[in-house]
Amino acid sequence: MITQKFDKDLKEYFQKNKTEITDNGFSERVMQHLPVRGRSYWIISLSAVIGIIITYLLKGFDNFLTQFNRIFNYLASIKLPFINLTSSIVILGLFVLLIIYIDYEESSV
Amino acid sequence: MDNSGDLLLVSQVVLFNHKKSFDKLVKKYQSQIRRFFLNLTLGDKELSDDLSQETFIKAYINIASFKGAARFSTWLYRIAYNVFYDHSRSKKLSNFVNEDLNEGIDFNFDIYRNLNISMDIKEALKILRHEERTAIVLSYMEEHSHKRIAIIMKCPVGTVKSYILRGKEKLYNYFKNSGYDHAKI
Repeated sequence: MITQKFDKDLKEYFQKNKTEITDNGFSERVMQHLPVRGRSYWIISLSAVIGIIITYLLKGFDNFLTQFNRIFNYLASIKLPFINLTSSIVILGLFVLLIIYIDYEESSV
Repeated sequence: MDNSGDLLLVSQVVLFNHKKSFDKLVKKYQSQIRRFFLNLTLGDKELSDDLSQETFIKAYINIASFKGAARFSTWLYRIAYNVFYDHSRSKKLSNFVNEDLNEGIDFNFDIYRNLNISMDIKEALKILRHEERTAIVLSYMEEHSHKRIAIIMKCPVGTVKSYILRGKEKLYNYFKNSGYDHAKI
């Protein structure tokens, strides 16, 4: 029958035998054996350049600025009388807590 | 360095192929991964280093597939477990008749002596099946939660618990039969 004491002793036993292994050139050997990779960087750069050119040719920047200006003006004109400063802070606080909780749950895995 | 530090290094590797960032990750986790393999292979240092190297190379090749849903270390252990599992399977095929997946490995007793690890831990781990050994090592030595072990071994949490329970029972009997009072293990 396994007792709680045995469980505790087993944990101590494994911890006692836990050894830090010194690098001794291991990392260097790994780095020397890494395959050549680097296409992704060029693909990202190339895609970004092509995207900028297409956006410029289609006058996308002008459209973007116009739409952005519209959204900004619309948001500035909105009046929400039922939301005061206190409730805004409370809602924002709850939202931040929710994000922290989700982050904690994910990092605890 | 916490998980967010790891994520930053991973993103530098993925986006800019920044090898120095990957080097930092290797340096940070080499001890854990090599110790994990050293325990799974029952002290075969050369094999442990080969498997560790394979693990880091696979991690580098597939680093873009790391989505950050779990910790980087969990993802790395998952690769390590797969590498060990593939190795054990190929070993089993070459040995053809071995029931125990780790039979046929040349155990190097001196390695444990050099690392100041007692002989008993190798002997104790030897009696466990490789799934039980993995679960016990991850839980009791590397102090991972059952949830993380389940992700690493890609099995339900309940299965991990039963591996640990069965492993503990075998270890309990082993220490009892070896004449140890469990207060002195």
